Amino acid sequence: MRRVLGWSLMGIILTLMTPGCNNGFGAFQIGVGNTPNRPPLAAFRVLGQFGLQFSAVVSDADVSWNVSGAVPMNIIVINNESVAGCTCSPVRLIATKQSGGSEILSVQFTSGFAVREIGSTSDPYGVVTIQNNTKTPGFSPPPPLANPDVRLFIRGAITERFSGLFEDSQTAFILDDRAPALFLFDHPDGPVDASVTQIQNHLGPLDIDLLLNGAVVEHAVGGPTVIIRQP
Amino acid sequence: MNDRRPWWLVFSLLPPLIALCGLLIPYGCGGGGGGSLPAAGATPAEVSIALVGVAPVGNFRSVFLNVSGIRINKTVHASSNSPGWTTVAVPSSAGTGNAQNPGDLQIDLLRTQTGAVAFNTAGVEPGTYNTLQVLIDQTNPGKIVPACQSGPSNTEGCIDYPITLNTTNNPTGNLQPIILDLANPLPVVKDSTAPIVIQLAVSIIGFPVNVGDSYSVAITPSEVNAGSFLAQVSGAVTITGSAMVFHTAPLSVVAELTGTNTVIQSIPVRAKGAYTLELPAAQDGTTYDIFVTGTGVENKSFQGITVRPGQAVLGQDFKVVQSNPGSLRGFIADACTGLGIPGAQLELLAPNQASPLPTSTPPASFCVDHPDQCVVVATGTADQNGSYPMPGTVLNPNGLSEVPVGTLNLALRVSASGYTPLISSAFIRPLAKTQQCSASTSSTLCSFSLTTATMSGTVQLTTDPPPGSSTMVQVFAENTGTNELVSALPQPLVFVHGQTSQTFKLNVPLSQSESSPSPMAMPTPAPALDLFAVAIDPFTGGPSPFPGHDIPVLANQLVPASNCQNTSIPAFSPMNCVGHGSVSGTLLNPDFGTTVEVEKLDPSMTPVQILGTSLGLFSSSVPSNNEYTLCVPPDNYQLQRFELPSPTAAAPTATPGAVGTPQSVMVPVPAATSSPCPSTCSNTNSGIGPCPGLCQNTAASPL
Repeated sequence: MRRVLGWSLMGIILTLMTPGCNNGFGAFQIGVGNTPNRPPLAAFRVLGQFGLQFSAVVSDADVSWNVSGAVPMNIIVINNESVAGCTCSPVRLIATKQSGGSEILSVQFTSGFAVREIGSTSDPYGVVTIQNNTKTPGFSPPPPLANPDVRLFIRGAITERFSGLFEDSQTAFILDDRAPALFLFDHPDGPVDASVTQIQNHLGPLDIDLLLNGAVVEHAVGGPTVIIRQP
Repeated sequence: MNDRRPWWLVFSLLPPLIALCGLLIPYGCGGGGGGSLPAAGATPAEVSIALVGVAPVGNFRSVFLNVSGIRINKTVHASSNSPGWTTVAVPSSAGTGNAQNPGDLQIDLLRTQTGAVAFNTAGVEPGTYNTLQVLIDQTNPGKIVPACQSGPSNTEGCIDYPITLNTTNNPTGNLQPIILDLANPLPVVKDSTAPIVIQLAVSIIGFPVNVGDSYSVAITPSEVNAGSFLAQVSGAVTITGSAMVFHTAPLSVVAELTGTNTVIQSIPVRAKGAYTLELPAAQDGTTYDIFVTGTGVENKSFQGITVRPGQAVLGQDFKVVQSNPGSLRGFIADACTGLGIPGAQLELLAPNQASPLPTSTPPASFCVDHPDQCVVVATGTADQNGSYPMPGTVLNPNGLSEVPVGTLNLALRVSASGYTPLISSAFIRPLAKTQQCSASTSSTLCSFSLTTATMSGTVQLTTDPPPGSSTMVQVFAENTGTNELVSALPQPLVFVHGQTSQTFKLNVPLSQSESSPSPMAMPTPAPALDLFAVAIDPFTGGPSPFPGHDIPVLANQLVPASNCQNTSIPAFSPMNCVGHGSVSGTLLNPDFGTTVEVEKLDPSMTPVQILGTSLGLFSSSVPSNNEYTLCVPPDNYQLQRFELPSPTAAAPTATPGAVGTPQSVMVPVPAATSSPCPSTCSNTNSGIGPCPGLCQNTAASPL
């Protein structure tokens, strides 16, 4: 009987761990157990012509990150719960289109399913700024660069949807989003780790890099669930 | 003793079985497709929607509308709550989801008034559609950037003003529907593409009274004749051969602006191999490359198809052979540091099928020698580490992982901002599926090192920012005497209180003589560059599209002669906080190839182009436009008219030529104010005031 109960319990746990359809999208945080869902994290969407090269400075109240890459890219700040209009922890993205053509670079600040701020440019090497508040951070200088600079880059197929647990030694966040996604840790407390599960498995792996101060320190590939830990 | 296990023991198998099924069976929450190209799904028919803008009366720099989607319904006079709506989501370039929502396509109505811009193509059920809804983002409907002095007397110009919608329709979630009853119902027939062009006219109901207020606008949609804005390209795809592996990427025909990788439309090939593209066409003609892709077929293409509104180009047939796909992969590095280049771009070139091809033996490749006769058929980018391609899946493959093996004459074009572009042959051996690239630095991968040099200089401010404030400055480089930008700093310089000078080091591509011949459709690296510095100034704390500091320029700075070499250039003139300004004017008999550039004289009195209008803004044909507004900080400038050799739109390799003599204009410095400060910047380093006051517009003579 004990064995039966054990199997049943394990099965129920596995079933519950399997992501469902009620979590929405967009850096949503899912409550654990009976706790309610929490507000979505600050999420920037760098969109426009696929493959367009860009560079950006992302900042919140006390940390900045320099980011380079190609469109599309979702950028989520971990340990920051900025929502549209709040001054609690202002977030800002200043992006420079690194191309001399007339392609569109569109940057969007989203909260769940809603686009809260949007800026775009088709000018050669155009510059776009968006922030979650109309007045702040305003003229204030960007905070110092993150140190340590800990990032997770999820390199799944474009628009591949995933759910994951992202945590340091003290705080954990359960999030939904889509690849490719760059997670920036604001003041991680100790080593970070993540457990990421594909939701729409299009028969291919998730591919995750963990970067520390610009260098890849851990790499994991697989599916449907990939676990990666900072050494 | 009864050793039979109890019957209810079978329940113990159910939970792990359910969990196992959950993990193994692909499942999800809506959305499909979502490839690296905006491909429509395999549905009975497609509808292709394009938009045309009608800007409000007035003097504006930009009128942005944020469109979140378009819905169509077969019901006559359908309301928002009626059943039967089919949504055409925003294109993948504007959305983040599989169905590309959430996301907004931000359309500048001023840039879409002379021709249509493709919205998206989606699969729909056949039938007759009678009602259409344009879904505007209710949270963020759009914004207007007026010229200076174009609004009420106490409002600033050249800054963003939000718009609010004047509508009685009930919102649908976060979206504001603008309903259009189609006077000419849209017939959608099985195995065909139905085009529809919607004109969005914005009229202003209420003006902002103060900075921070919004424009109240009314949006009036109307259906216009698709034949006045679109052209049709159609044909059939015939496949021979078969692959040894299973392909799930849909067979599609893709249209992109000629010589570029800018995809305008992707259509699934239907039953009997037929396809129909409905493409935006400028009055003077728009030129496209089209190619077939997916299911492991060889990449065949037609290059340089010029279409005009109402034209039907038939018989663009492809006969392709299906084979097994191979993958191109490797690492893109900085040739000086060896570090990866995040975001570096790779384009796979394939010969257009009209070109007579020699019998090449790899690594020889027709597209290396004749890139101008080849078409971009797949793209890829380097990741944060410099590696490529980004992973794909069986259902959503990466283009560089679907290269037919054994295909001759392919080439990879590799580029990154500030680096010399490179072109290499690309070949995947049929049996071993190993890669062979002529310019690779690896014997097993297609890895490349991009050469670069650096230019070191200094940016100066006349006045350092007040305590607690900052000024950000970005530095740009362009081929001398042109508006072909080739590099910018990866991150802007940040000046804080007490700082009036900062050095920078800018990566720049080596000139053509130091590199291989320039791949087509890219600015040819020049032996000298013009540089200019632009501040990223907020306005009263919020993001602002135009700077409040003047723009210093340096002309004709020699590029270092060899890889990894650095050259020091003179310091820029100190940047002064001057506020905003604008220039408005008209052109005589312009066409799609007409542009206006603002030039500033450098200390040696050589003009440097700092900004201008985009191609396709002007037309003398209906719908016409000969007006422009440019936002520039107060200073002395020259306005110069340029013309492309041919007015045909989307000919990126053509270099525009100056027409007539430049016109001198002086944009005046606005009077200083003490409130509200800081407006766009501060004139002193001791406090936020005084600061530039309301800007003034300068009317230029017709060009």
